[in-house]
Amino acid sequence: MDALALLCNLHGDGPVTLTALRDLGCEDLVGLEALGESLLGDILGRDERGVQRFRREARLLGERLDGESRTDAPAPIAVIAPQPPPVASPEPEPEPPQVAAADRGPVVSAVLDLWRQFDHPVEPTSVSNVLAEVTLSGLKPDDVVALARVGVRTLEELAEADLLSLTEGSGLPYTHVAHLAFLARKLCDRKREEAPLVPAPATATVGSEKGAKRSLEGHTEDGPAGPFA
Amino acid sequence: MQIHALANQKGGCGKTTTAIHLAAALNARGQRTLLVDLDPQAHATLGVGCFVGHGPSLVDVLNGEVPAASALRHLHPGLELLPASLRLAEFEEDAVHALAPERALEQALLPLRDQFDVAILDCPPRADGVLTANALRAATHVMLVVETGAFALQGALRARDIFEALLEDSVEQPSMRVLATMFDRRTRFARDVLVAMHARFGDAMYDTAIRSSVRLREAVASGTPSLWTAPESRSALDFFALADEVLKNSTLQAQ
Repeated sequence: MDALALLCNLHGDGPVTLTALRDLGCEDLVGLEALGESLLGDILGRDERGVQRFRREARLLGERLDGESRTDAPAPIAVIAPQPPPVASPEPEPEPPQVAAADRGPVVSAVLDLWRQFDHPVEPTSVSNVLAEVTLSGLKPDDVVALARVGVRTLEELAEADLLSLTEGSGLPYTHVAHLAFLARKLCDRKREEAPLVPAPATATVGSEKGAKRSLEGHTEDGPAGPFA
Repeated sequence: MQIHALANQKGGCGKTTTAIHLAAALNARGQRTLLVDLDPQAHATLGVGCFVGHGPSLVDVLNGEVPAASALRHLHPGLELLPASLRLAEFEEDAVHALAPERALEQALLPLRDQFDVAILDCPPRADGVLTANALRAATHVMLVVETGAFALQGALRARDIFEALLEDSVEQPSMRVLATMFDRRTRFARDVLVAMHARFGDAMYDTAIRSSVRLREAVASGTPSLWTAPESRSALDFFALADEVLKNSTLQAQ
């Protein structure tokens, strides 16, 4: 979603306004300034005052997005394009900067804080590799017992284990085991990056060549795979 | 055939309503469209006014008991449904003992490749189940459906992490984009959340935000997409715009 689409969703008639503006060759917030009052009024179906309010919202939105892009907010996720298009700076209107800051509101701040927690979760303080002592999202005490029954007691063993064997042996659902193994691989990779001189971990009790290969190659060289990577 | 999986681990964020109406909008744009209901609650099936009864449904297809073509239900010219039934939950339970159960849908849809231009997969409201794994394996595109509310966004980020884990071994990774739904611009809360979503997801978001609408709720309850009864309505325009965007993006990617 670009800034113009966001503006049309927030203060216009959504896709109707967006399509009309784009049909006129207006592709961004700056392009709005080039449109005449009456033309913009026709598109929006508003009088002169409504048009001025729309232009003002466009300027404030530009400042707000520009300000947020300079904060330490997590980088937007790119799927098709690697980065979101830069939001064009609005004309240097003598708008007081505190207006944009106040407009940000506590809700946005709270939501962005939550997202930061997801993007940068608190690292487990324990340096232990024993499953019973590590913090792994979704790993319950019963799971630890079930995994220990088939000889999987450490992060490395879980990361390199053959998932089908592990599922059959432990009685845990396949998807749950796969999720835990994924988290274990991530933690192992992170530990290896932090301490590159530490000798390689022991091999898994329940493991396979495929799992070991994936663990070693899939992450250490190219980083985590995935559509958001 | 493009295959779009609509997913999020949170229920009530508009996945099923979006799936039904997007399928109808794509169909109205001349696309031969298949709607696949992967939710054991069968809400998409009910939402288009279909009753499965004792006929074949998706669970029979996934278990390899019948080919997908024989379970299809005709909804509209150029629009077919692969319906769900309550028995679909059995597939999730039995999958523990199956070999590569997450590939069943991908295999089942292969014979339909030339019969349809687009398939819309309505996923169940959990991200780590084998049914969602099936949808992600089969999909060429993933649409993360996110309600414009703070809790839904947390769910979306959790879902994203799980999707990445599930897709880790995929050879062809689907593209993933975010769709904002249930947007009510009259409330400051919704406006703030949409701005925050824009700041978080950027270009990965669809330009179209689906606005909340009583008409949409009524349409699903009555078993008829609102595009068929009120094609000029605001909600219909939203879905036509989304359909255009989906088609445009797919064309761009194909190039």
